[in-house]
Amino acid sequence: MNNNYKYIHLLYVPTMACNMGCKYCYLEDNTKDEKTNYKALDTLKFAIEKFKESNVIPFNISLHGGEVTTLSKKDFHDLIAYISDYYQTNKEIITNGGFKIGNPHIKTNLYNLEEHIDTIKEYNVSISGSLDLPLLLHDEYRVTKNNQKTLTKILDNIKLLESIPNKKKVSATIFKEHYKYLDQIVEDIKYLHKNTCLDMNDFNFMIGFDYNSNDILHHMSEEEQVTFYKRMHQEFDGTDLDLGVNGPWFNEFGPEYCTNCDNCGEKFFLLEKNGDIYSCVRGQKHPDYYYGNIYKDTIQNILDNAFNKIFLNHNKEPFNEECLQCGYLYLCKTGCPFVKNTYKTNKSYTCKLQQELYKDRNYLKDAYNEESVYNYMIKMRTENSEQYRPKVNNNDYPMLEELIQNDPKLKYIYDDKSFILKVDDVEYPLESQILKKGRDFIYLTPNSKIKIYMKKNMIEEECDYPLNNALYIMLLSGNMITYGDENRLKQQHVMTHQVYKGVLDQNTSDKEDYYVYDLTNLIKEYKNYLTMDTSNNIFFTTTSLRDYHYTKQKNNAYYHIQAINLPFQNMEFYYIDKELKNE
Amino acid sequence: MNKEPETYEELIRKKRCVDLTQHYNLTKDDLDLIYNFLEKNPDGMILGSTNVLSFMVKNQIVYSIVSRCINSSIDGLTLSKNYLRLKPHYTPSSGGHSSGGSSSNNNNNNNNNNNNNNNR
Repeated sequence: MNNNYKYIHLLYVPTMACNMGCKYCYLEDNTKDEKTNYKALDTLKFAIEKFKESNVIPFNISLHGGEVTTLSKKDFHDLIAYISDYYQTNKEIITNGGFKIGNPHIKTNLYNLEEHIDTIKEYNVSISGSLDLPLLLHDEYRVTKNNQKTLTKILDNIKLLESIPNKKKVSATIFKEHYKYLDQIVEDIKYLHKNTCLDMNDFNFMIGFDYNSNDILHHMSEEEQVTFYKRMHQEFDGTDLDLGVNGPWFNEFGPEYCTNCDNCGEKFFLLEKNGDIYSCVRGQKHPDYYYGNIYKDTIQNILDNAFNKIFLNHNKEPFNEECLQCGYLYLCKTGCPFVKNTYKTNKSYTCKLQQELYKDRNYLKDAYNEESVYNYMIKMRTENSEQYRPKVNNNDYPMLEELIQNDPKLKYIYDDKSFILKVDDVEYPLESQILKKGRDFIYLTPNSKIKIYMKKNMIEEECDYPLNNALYIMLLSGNMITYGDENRLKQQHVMTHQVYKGVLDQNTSDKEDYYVYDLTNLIKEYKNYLTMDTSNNIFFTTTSLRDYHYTKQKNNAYYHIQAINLPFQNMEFYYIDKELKNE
Repeated sequence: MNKEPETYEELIRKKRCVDLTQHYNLTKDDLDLIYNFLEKNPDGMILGSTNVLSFMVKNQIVYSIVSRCINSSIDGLTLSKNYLRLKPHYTPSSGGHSSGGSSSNNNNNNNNNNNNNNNR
């Protein structure tokens, strides 16, 4: 693959006009051509050239509407000719990207097809038509603007495709209203397969969702979707439509489609004649899915907006914890953000159907589900990804957590509730440097008021004589130096400071059950030995716990390996020392 | 962000923004945006993932900018008024999965474009 190119799927809307007046049309009154100074072909050409200048290559250009067949014969011909030529001219670039070269493709209601049949033949145009199944509902819903029925004419137009070798298919969207006619849907599929030139193996279902359908159509429940899917298999498995029911009919719910992308804004774009770019037909005219205008914006801005907006739309609802356990997140990616936000839900509206399909098509549950979840979270979610980080032991010896569990004496060396660092008014509970999942950094200045709080019981842990025990503070600078026989590169030790129980007892703490010790002056005293441009490090434990740590290292090789770096509770910090006007 | 800091609070905020450039590809405009956001939202947080910086207020995302993480040793970070937290990179044991579909279904109910003639 040539990594210099970014490949996209481009849907082009050369006209918003439509010759039909489907009662449930989501575009409502928008199905008329918009006033614009740009011609359909000019905008597409301009966009393709501008994309290409930025190494963005549409591997597929499909025409959509409105209704593309409402274009004049000449405009339609010129567009198709341009796309056909584009594929040939860019054949090498597209195939090098791993994509097949196709023919020009249109999405159509099939009603005006006869007007463009010559162009369709000349360029072997691939056709995807829309029908309602059962067909009796087609004539009820898919009517002309004058409320005339359309089915007879559409079936006649399908006959026109009989003698040409182009790819031709239809699709149908199923709502609850269609689902009520399951028997009739089955019969109509058989009818179309037998009595038209359509090979109904190459057909597909879509599952409708409620959006701008004028309250005429209502979505199926997830259980109904599964019943529908199973009924189709029951009727067509093992028949001459076996290939279809186990393939294209339900491919939309498999992992190959836009709804199953991490971020569809990386790949899918819809361009309108006026230059506006949206995500797709679902997001068309919706500000949350508007990426910019090809005439006004840079390609980089459009690409950034696309990624950004889809990321934002996926994060409008919190992550669904069910998706953690499902095992198919690696395929599903939680579904289409547009539908999720329309339904105010956080998982795919065809979740159960998808799970059935995955099982039937032998997609295995993810053997590395934890890793897939984590990778998804760090790319696509704003929840704290640390909680999803897999716990993996790649070694042949016990993990540190296990060693701590097996030796209660280690507990307080690693306890995350025993030390609190307070800087000015902000408290930072400290965790063991080697157990924590992230690295925290704070910023200290000569004005910072710094205190350490230590739980009072700490002075007695692993200690027979608490009066001889002390709060043990280690300060390391950001300078890296080579230590010891093993020549390890480590942070340079600046100072060690011990505060004995007798002193701690005399300091009045404002926190119950905690000793307190003011570090402000101690840090200031050593400030000249701290680094300014790299982070410094401060650790806290007790003298006795520190002793126990090294005793354990000596006695237990596994522990020594797992706790080879300083294990104590710590905080990394930048020290900023600069004279300022208002300080 | 151009103006000379007059207080430690301003200086720290500025240093935090500059430190971010060690981990993410950021333009000067991006840095100004981050600086202003942190200044105006004391409870605000910048959440860095592999390719986006999200501007969060009370756990809600209010804005985001596309920015690639350039520090291969981390998977992301959190930056707030009080701290910077780096999230170390997790090395997966598996090869990982693809980022998903290359075919458009573009199903807007009755208006789909199920074009799979150019699938990978």
